[in-house]
Amino acid sequence: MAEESAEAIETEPAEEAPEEIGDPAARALKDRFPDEVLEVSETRGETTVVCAKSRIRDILTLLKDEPRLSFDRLSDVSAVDYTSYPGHEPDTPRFNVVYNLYSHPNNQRLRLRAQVTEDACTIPSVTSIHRGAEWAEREVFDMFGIRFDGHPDLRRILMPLNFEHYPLRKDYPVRGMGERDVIAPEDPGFLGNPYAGEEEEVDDPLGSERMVLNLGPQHPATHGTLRLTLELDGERIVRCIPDIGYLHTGFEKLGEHHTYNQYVTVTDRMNYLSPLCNNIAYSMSVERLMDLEVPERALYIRTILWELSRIADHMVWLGTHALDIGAFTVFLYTFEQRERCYNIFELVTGARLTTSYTRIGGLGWDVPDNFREVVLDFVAQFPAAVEEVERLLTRNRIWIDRTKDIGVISAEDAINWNMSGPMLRGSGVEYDIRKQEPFLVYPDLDFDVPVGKHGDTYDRYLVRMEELRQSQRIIEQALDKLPDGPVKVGDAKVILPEKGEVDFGMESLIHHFKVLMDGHGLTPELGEAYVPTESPNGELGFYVVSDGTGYAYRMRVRSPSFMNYQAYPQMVNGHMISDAIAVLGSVNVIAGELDR
Amino acid sequence: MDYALESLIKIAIVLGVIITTVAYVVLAERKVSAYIQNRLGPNRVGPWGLLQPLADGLKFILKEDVIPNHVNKAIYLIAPAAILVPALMGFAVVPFGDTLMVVGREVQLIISDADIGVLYILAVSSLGVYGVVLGGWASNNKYALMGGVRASAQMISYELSLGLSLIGVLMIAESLKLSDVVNLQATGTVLGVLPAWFVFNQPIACLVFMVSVFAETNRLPFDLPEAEQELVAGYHAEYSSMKFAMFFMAEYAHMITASALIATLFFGGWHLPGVDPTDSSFALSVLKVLVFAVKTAFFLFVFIWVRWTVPRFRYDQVMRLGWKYLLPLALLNVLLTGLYLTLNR
Repeated sequence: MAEESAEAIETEPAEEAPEEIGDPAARALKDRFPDEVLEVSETRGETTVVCAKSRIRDILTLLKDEPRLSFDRLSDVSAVDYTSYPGHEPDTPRFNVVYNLYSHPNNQRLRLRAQVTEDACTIPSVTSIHRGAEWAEREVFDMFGIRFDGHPDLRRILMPLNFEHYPLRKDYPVRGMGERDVIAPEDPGFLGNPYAGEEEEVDDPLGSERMVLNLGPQHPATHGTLRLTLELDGERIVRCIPDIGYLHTGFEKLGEHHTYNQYVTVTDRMNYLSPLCNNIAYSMSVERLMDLEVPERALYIRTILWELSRIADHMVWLGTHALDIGAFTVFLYTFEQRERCYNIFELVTGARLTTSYTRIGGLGWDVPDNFREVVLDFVAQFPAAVEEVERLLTRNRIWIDRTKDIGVISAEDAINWNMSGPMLRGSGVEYDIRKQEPFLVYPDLDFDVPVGKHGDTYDRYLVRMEELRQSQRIIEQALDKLPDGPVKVGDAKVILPEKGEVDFGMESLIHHFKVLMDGHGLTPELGEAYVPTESPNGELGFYVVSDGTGYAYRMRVRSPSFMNYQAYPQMVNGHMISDAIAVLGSVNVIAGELDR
Repeated sequence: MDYALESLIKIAIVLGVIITTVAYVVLAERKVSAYIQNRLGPNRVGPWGLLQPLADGLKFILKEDVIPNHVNKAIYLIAPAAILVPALMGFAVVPFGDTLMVVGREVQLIISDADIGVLYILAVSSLGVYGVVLGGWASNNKYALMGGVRASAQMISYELSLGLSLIGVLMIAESLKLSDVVNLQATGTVLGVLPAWFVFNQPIACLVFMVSVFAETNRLPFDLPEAEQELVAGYHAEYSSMKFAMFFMAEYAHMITASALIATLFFGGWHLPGVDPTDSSFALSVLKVLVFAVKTAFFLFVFIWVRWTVPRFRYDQVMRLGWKYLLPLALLNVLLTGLYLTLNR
């Protein structure tokens, strides 16, 4: 298995005969593109196809249009720089652009890796097939310097426009290079003017002028760090250009310089409204990479905390969404509930925000004895709180007027734009990873997946409100079934021994020492893993590439906000400023995971 | 001479009361909103935070007064006064009681019982929009400008239904004098049981008037001109210190005048059912003033209550409500009242 992955970067075609490939999609690709498909590997239930870059557009078109396959969603585009990967030869392509595809009809995933050499650092853009690739490709360009031919707007997205390096390349130091060396002295000007030379003729008999309004990053409705440039005709939005990256923290680069357990603390800071989901999602990816079976009690606790996080996250969404539309009181009602959730997190993890509760292979420690009562107390009073907010909003004439038919996105568009979570379900696509690609103990629990109809702001509101009730159901069931037992795997090479044993036992002392020693404890074999999870905002997953050391070789975070937010300009065009604020609330962008 | 002195004293008292009330309405707003939102509200300065308004006032006076370089200075400086003064002037024709015997003189509890009281109020209250528009424009800031534009469109639109809603009342009262309007409500009954308040006589007018004053005072759900989450602070985004406080006070002074007007025009002013309106003993006169104050306070509470309950309209929705619903409704009311009066002649 380790060898397979190491070979994956080599250019010779795989030696396996096509009939040995179990995955139908991979088999079809091998049949149709015998010259381009270089290697197919099936490990840990994930299929990876390595291919040449030249016909990547044809490959993705085939995968999307072939009815048997219909990989209609391009879930993520990222890249890996293989320079220092074990087994990498200087004459083999340096980069792999990684496409993560999902098929809604077949409920299947496929990973494509297209090889790109350093000298010809370009690859055809796939935005014409999957529009949702737009920002992800920009990010790859920003971070690796791989140019995408035919991309509509290939600018840097997270780094400043006049930044001169490519930070995720292996030769860029984690400490950075100093501002003077990386920022070009000349100012690129207003957003680098992405649409220069593209000024369309305006048919306006009145000859009225348009106003450009800069909204954010310091603006009450952008909650800190989003920036929108709105071109307005009166109050109507003619064009909207989001500018992101104000909270870029280099989390992916940090992943390559923290040991696997250290990185848990970094994940706290991504979606700071539901840090536990990040902890858990991250741990699951590494656990798959290491083939660890987490004990059942840990899984149940993770599930309960996951749903509590969803409630906490949705509470902030609901409060700020209502606040942005003018209903201040809702904000305080929901924050009271969030406070109760946070009290539980504090009780369990010792921290309210920086929870860092999971370890690779389980949890840091078991929940306190009164966990059950505390959570039951919470779920007992919670429905009344939801009910109260619903009475204030759901049938409120003003609320309906402000949200109905605002920011509409059709089911087809939502998939094409790579949306997930409540955004996708609001448009009527019944896709919930908890059901479709189950993780934790969701298969054992009974719950419904609410789906909207119109894909407008109001439907997304209804979907999330119903999710709150379902979360409560899940928590109640999981508490009932919560088994006894350990919360960590029994593997002494993975988990630190109890402190008391370390002080008095020779064995434990050695294990303790080895787990913490570089390159001895937590060292997954060569390979890669990605576990999709249904976080409160949508598909959250960590694509981890291991080079056999204690540090990840590549840490890619597929964050829901980043993908959901890119369709925003399309959703607000033609609407008014007030609607832009309402839609922004319903997208629920979390800057921490948006900019990472 | 006596008349001038009497008026001056009344003006001084009324102005003092209003300014103090403004301060305490702000406190009430914070306390009521806290109550609505499961919070405590201000409780550090004095018992129940009662001294909070003093601290706030002091803070506003001591804050640095920033005048940005890019503003049109003359207009920028006039705007806060242009909004506060009309807000205070409106109260001049509102009867806050009947009559009171003071040192042998019978004093009418109204600053000026002008014959054109209602017209005067409409005229003065429309002046308030100038402060908003000028402030927004002179600030030379896009958000402020949009706030100013929104405010002018909104206030002018609702001015119409506001004025029209009163016509029904005036047709019955046959006078523009507010004291006449109150006296009329203090006599007789509606349907034999209810007091002859115009809320029962003219329910449509009352509804239209109340909605319109919400829009006129820029209170939620009509607070688009300053909509914090959209326009940051709208027309007063560039104002600081006491100038900001003047915008702030103007809003509350407006609310007080509006509440007093609702009480006066539609809820019988100082009239309390069961109390002989012609009896002008000292105790009863004081009681009437108190009744008026309680009614006004109630409507102030309604203003606050609504603000902390509902979300905000969108610009075009406000316009639609004003022009497509309230205006026709007000016209219909005029028509119905006219028909009724003609048939009952």
